[in-house]
Amino acid sequence: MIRINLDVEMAKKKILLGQLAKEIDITNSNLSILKTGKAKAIRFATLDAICKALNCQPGDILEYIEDESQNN
Amino acid sequence: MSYRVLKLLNILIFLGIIVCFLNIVSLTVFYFTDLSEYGLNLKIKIGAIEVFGNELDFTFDILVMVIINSLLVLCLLFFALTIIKNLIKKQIFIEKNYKIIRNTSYILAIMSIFSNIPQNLVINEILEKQKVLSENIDSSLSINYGFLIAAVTLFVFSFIFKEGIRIAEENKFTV
Repeated sequence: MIRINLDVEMAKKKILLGQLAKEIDITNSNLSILKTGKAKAIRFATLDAICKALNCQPGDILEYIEDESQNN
Repeated sequence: MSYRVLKLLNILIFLGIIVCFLNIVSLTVFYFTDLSEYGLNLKIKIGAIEVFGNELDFTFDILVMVIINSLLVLCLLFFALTIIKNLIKKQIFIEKNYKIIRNTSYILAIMSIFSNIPQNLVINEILEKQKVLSENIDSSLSINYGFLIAAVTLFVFSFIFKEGIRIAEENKFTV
């Protein structure tokens, strides 16, 4: 499964959810969905905007971890 | 479909529910009380047959079958009312609507078996009165294929609707 580390990156850059949402031009609720890991998909445009705003790579935000429940 | 049409349908279905409920009450009252004592009579319409109550030997079997059919129709009307209310609220691809569509298909399947029985029981009564009923005539059970096809179609449609819910959810959670 894919884990979203947006909260970690935001903490590193000391940026609030509202500020980031305003900067990348998406709603607070949509960014909150992404931050809490409830999102089912992410657009390249959104990922591009987040990476630009946080000055990071997509790999810093998205991380693949092995899901044990799916293997069994 | 416009909001006004949905509102009108909502009212019509609500009136249908009241009529269906009154139908059950009036038939039950007719069965348990002798209305002819008060100079009253009830015109009963079962399927394509329309008879006056005093001309028909209104048996308990007919009453039970008519009530079962009326209750099934009531269920369908309640489902239709709920779906229209959800449409008015612009809640289309939701789990509740999927369950209603699936349950409607089950009810239609049951109705395909039960819907012709009251009419056939009345036909049997009339044929018996006319002394033309023989052992060769048996019309107590017959399947209404119209309802059966509608049930199968709706059951298949419910799976398409479920896929629609999945796509809508995915779209909602795409950031």
